[in-house]
Amino acid sequence: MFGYILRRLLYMIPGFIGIILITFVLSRVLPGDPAVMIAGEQAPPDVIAKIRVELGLDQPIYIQFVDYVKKLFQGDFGTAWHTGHTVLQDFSSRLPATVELTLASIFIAILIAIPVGIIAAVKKESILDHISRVFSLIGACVPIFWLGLMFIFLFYSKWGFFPAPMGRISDGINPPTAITGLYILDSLLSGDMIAFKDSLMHLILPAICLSTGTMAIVARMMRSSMLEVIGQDYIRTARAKGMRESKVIMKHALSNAFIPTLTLLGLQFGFLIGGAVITETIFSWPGVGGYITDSILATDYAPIQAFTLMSAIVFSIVNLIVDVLYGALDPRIRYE
Amino acid sequence: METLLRVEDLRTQFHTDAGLVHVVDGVNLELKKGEILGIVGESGCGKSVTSLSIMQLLPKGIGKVTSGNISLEGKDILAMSKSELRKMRGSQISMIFQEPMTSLNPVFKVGDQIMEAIRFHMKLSKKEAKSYAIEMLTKVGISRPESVVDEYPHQLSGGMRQRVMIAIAMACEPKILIADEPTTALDVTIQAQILNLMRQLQQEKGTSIMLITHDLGVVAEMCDRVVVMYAGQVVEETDVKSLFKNPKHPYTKGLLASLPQLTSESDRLNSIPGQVPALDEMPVGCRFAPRCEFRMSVCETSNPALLDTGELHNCRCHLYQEEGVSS
Ligand SMILES: Nc1ncnc2c1ncn2[C@@H]1O[C@H](COP(=O)(O)OP(=O)(O)OP(=O)(O)O)[C@@H](O)[C@H]1O
Ligand SMILES: [Mg+2]
Repeated sequence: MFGYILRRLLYMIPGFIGIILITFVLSRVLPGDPAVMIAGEQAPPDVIAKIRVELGLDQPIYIQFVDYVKKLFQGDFGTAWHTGHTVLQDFSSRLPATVELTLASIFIAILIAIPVGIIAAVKKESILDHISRVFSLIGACVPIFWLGLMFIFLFYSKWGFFPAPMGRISDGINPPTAITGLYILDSLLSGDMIAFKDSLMHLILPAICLSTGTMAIVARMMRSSMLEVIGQDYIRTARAKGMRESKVIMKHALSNAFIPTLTLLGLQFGFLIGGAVITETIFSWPGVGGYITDSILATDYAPIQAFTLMSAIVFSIVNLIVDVLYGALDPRIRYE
Repeated sequence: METLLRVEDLRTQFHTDAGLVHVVDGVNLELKKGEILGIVGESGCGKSVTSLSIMQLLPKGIGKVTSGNISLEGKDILAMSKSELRKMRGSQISMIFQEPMTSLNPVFKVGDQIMEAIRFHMKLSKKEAKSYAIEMLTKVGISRPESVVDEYPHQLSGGMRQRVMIAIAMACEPKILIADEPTTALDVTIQAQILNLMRQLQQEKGTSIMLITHDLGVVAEMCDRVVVMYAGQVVEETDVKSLFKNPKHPYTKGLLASLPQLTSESDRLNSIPGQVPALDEMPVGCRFAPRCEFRMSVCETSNPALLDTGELHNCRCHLYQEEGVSS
């Protein structure tokens, strides 16, 4: 088991090297000269040339690359020109917001999609099944930006159910004492109910918005794997023993049907990271996603490269965890 | 002998590729207390569907009983509530399924799957249930039962899985055991061991057994009475001696004639010519008529009823109905 995890971690390295290479090349090939962005369009050419030398942009590209990798190994992801901070500083101040949003989305997706999928399968072809089918179809194909704008328009502008889509907490309210960095959790831990309520209200819309696609796909997956399992001989055996139908479904069927859904959840994580960039921008969520949008608009290489690399690492680790869990859930799979 | 289970005019419908058809179409049978009843018949004639109808375990939305009666000690199974059915399954009637490879849940330990039924019906503690499960595994002839209880189905061979299924079915000492080809997956020595085990259960606990099999040798050895099925109907029902000595239905005669006979002078294997009619093309008359060597004109127009031809020997054939009418 330990050996397996170690091996998987080693196998990730070539992938990461590839990602470092690709993001580096892309960032240099894409149009937009960072020196011009820093100095301003109107700056005289000699000033721009000076900045290019400072940034090392006058060096041949392979030297720039070696420089970049060297710094990566020292934990230096470069400086974000458009904020003036190091990328690491910017990330660490924004990461908790993104983690909170992403975790909330996954939580919502699982909480809704799994029961919906089970019910749709158990009550196949019923009105509930048809309703869930329609919603899944809509959920899977509506783009996040449209959904986000509709949410804001309806629930904030028109009906005022939710606070303005500006950040994680209202201006007049103090953020909770930082423990984990997640406002919901921190406010609960410190017993600050005002901050809890306010940050929860801020979180709900973007979290639902981000979770919709995942929710739709996971619900469909859960339904189809549940349907397949319900038709298996061992389910009939469980019934033949006199088991209660709820136990047949929740114990015998779910323990088998959840396994493929888990894999899907792991893969959806990549989608969530991408979706977070859009969602955070729409809701002015002060996380890494909105920061990356700003970086893209400012042609700021360093944060984009760091974000891509970080996403790849998180995605790989999440899927490694999924595979390990898979082995725990399915005794037929053994890792040596 | 008192009748435990009575099936009357059972008709079970399935959604098949050929459309909505009755795959069991008028089955009558009776299982008496403590007897072993054999059910034989060609593949696809509805043996498994009949037993699943009795257990009320037909696949939902695909198969259902459309008419007839099934009663267990006078209680109508078709009218039972869900909780009555649950109490019946596993403790009053158990079933050994035909598919040993897929009938165990792959993600739970073998022991847990045996214990589940024991704990539900016999209200034993976890510890008691476990030692009882080990005892059951020993009884069905599994060596090193203490370690097998903690193993998963994929770690066992097909024969071992079948024996685990048998242990589950027998664990709560049901009044009725339906065994659907319980030994087909096993080699000959284990087959004998399992059959002995069932016989022992029948003799010691007075369990009634419905034994579905293709093997007429097993029927001869094990059964008290036999029901012969053809194309969803019972064509003959009698005690095992008369079946072998004095088979009446031409289909039964064909079945017996197709047995390899050690004593016969010719070593040619007889088989019944022709094929079972397709489900959606059942003849209006006798279902066996197209293959029958004694076919008369009446056989093609009317399906004979299952009638007693004397000495509790029932037969569904015009040959004997004519006889009954004229005499
Ligand atoms: N799940 C199902 N869906 C559709 N048709 C089915 C299903 N199960 C059984 N049938 C049909 O019912 C008929 C009777 O099947 P059954 O399994 O009872 O036969 P059997 O006598 O047990 O045969 P075998 O000796 O091969 O086990 C078959 O013709 C089959 O086509
Ligand atoms: Mg069968």
